[in-house]
Amino acid sequence: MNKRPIIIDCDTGHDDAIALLLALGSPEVELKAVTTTAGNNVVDKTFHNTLKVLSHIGVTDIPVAKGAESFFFQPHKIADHVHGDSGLDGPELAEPSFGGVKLSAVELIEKTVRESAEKITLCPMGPLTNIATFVLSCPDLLPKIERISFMGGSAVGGNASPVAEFNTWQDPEAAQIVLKSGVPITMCSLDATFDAYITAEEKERFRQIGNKAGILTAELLDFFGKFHAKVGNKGAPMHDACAVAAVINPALFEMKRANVSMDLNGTFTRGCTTTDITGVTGRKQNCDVTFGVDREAFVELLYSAVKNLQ
Amino acid sequence: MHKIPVIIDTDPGIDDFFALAVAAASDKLDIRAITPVAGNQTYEKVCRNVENIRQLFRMDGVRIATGAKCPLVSAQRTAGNVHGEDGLGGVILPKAQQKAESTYAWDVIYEEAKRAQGRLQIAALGPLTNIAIAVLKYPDLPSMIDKLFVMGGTNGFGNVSPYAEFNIWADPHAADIVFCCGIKTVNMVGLNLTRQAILDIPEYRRVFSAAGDGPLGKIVTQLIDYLGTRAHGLGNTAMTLHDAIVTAAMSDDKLITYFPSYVRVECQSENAFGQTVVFAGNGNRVLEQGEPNVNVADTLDLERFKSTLSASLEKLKGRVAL
Amino acid sequence: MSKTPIIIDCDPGHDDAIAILMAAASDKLDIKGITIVGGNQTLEKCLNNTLKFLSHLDLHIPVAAGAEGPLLRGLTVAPYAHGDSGMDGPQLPPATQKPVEMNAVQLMEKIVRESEQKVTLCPMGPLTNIAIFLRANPDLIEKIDKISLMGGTTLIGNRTPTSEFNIWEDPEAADIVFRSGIPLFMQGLDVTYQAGVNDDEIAQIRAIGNKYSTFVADLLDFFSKYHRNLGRMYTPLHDPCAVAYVIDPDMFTTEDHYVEIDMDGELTLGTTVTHNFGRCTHAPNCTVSLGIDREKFVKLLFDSLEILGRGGRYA
Repeated sequence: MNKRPIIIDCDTGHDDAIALLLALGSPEVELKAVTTTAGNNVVDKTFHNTLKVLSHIGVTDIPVAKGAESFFFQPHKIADHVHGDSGLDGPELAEPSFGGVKLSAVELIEKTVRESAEKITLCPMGPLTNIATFVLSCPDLLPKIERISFMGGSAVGGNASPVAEFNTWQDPEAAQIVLKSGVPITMCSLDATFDAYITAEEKERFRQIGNKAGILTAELLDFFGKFHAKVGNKGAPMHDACAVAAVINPALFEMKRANVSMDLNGTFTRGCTTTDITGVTGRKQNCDVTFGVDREAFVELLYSAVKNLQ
Repeated sequence: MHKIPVIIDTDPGIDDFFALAVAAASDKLDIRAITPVAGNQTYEKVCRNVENIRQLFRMDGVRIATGAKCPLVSAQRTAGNVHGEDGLGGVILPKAQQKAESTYAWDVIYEEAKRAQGRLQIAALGPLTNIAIAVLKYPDLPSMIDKLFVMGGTNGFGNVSPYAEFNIWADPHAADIVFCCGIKTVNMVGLNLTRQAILDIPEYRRVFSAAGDGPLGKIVTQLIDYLGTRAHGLGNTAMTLHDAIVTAAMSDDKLITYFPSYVRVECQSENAFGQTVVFAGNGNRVLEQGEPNVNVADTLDLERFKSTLSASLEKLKGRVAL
Repeated sequence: MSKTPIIIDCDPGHDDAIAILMAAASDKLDIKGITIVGGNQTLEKCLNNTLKFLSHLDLHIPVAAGAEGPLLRGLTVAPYAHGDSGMDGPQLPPATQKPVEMNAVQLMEKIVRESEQKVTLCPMGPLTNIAIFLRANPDLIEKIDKISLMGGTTLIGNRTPTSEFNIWEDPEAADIVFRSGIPLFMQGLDVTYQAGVNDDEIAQIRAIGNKYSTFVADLLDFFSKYHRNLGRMYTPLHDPCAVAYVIDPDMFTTEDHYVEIDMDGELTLGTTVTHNFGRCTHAPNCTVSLGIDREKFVKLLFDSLEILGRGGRYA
């Protein structure tokens, strides 16, 4: 079977780490490179966390690059209330056994896409700063992007503001550049990702797999689940893993075509992904937006991927 | 039991017609005044419709004030595509003998608020311009109002843009002023609620059969047929009577459930102009919020609403003046 | 000749007080009322300042309290220029006068409705009261002769790089006023920074030697400190320009322009965007003052204080 080549752009992060495991353990995709961005925490930490997670499960041959330290226009706000001081509190992980490449995130994406014979799918799961910079700096490579399947945005409601999701709220201008790029886009929005959660019982199933990836998943969920229990969510939502799951099997999600454009100047609405599902704006549809997820099938997909790993 | 003294601020508007019908038929409401406001159509048209409806329902003794002809700050935009050129889908009502009085809506609201000694309830069924001018001119007014029901806004999707509802979008500055002015109970009945009462034309016919086949029956049939045609033109097969839910809720605490939230209106962004930002909205996981200033309507008892509509028309059918 | 009836809407404020005195001394003007708005300081402080100095100077003019803050935005006061009280400097006894039993909008309504002549408005604070008055009384708009306001600027601001304090404070209210269709005369920073007094002139004012001039000299002693620290040779008398224009428009050089208010610029909020570049397709809505005969203006101030010293005004 032909594997779909993907690049993950992340800000690891608990659910980012699990998204990496999903990509590495799934036969449907091949992880060509990982780039990191400021987001859940500062980029030095998200980069370091990414290397630690990959080293822990023995994957040291994938190029990892450090990307944007700051956003297009607005200052960075970290989410240590969700992910802890390190950006990946919880599991005790050894220091990374390999280093990143000597390229910037955008250079690594550029190189990977340019050298690839096939079209590449991008899976961003943090603020879209790196991806927007790539879109701006490599217009000639955009036809070689199969699709951008990003975790971010929300049609209704938010988690950073009443109407804005954290990633798009962090760097709304970058998100707007990506949304207007003309590349096919899947927006894995909060409307579905909050329902892609793992329950406490399911978490124990992951632990019982007994491999490093399974125990790591459970330990990540031990920490991540506390925050979500505190705010009243049903389980620990695997927001970022959705960006990969939607590439592996789009049928897991209920999708609607819509125009999505960023709100950039609202007093209360800046960072909102304005999602027009009825066509009232008359703007061209540019996104497939997730409105629901087959949760059990999603968890099953993740379970078999983790099981496939070391 | 004492009747509730109420003012209805309105821009008829087909659903406003039904809202006024429900209010006129209610034996729990004492309608003190109707204050027209430019909205669904231009001021002259909605005012004429209010005058004609008052006469049709024999609402003698109900004052009609002079309201705002344009929004506070933003440019005027109407909803002629929904309600027709005349605001009532071309349905001709008998021409009123009595015109509105020249006293302004905001002055009448203040007078009636004083007279009602803290018991006044207001139903705002159009843009909130009149109410905003009232609270701006009379800073002591908010504490004198018992409840303000607003048909407007939404906790979710909108109708004039992805997230904006017409009444709030038509005058967002007025809406933000009213939401933040300190009225102790502001009930926002938005699209997320009124869409729970989306009925198709046959269903409306069943509900409205209570109006009989006399003059009232003929009028409501014409109105519904017009709305049905418009809805069809806009790609829908069913529609709702937003405003009528509000007047039904005024005399019936059990009709709607609400949750309190901090709500603000976006006035800056072009994308989100007129969006009611509901901080404690259903989809939101935001921890930090302002003090709740608005009760956001959440669930509707649809059967109850349908029987209120039917009962109201039944009551009015022998009373209409032609 | 009949006097021009005017209403002064203000937020005293050092220069507001001087503007009121200039108007009170003029035999061309009949001050029908003073309405107060939150601006330089809170409404309460501005009202108290007004009643205190009117009591102290024995001037009897109806005063009404208006809006506490802007239509939509929170109030930002200017203690850096006017001190904690909003009128630091002169030591005045507590007020003996009281405001009328009406709010600002009601007082304006009453005055305009009862007046046989058209009334002139002189706003010198944020335009909140005026905007509410206009929206609440569309039928009275035709009875407003003109509005001569202190506010705005065509070039350089004093609150942000491009916006002037009064307009910046309540841009939505300013928008309502600038689109009202009423003849509008904008005394912005372009002209008001030219309408200043120097230290010699402040000394000359003190030398006039009556209680009015002493009060004004005390005001200017305080007010000039702020401006001197900014390196200004003259202490600008912003608000008196709004009154001086009504008394003697010939003192000013003006241009007619289309002016609109920026209400949503992150950096340009409250800017009076003046279409003075020659390609504007809108008809002018505003006469913008750009220059002033400073000598004449200062003389008007001196004369006003001497006239007031002779007594009998608004007794």
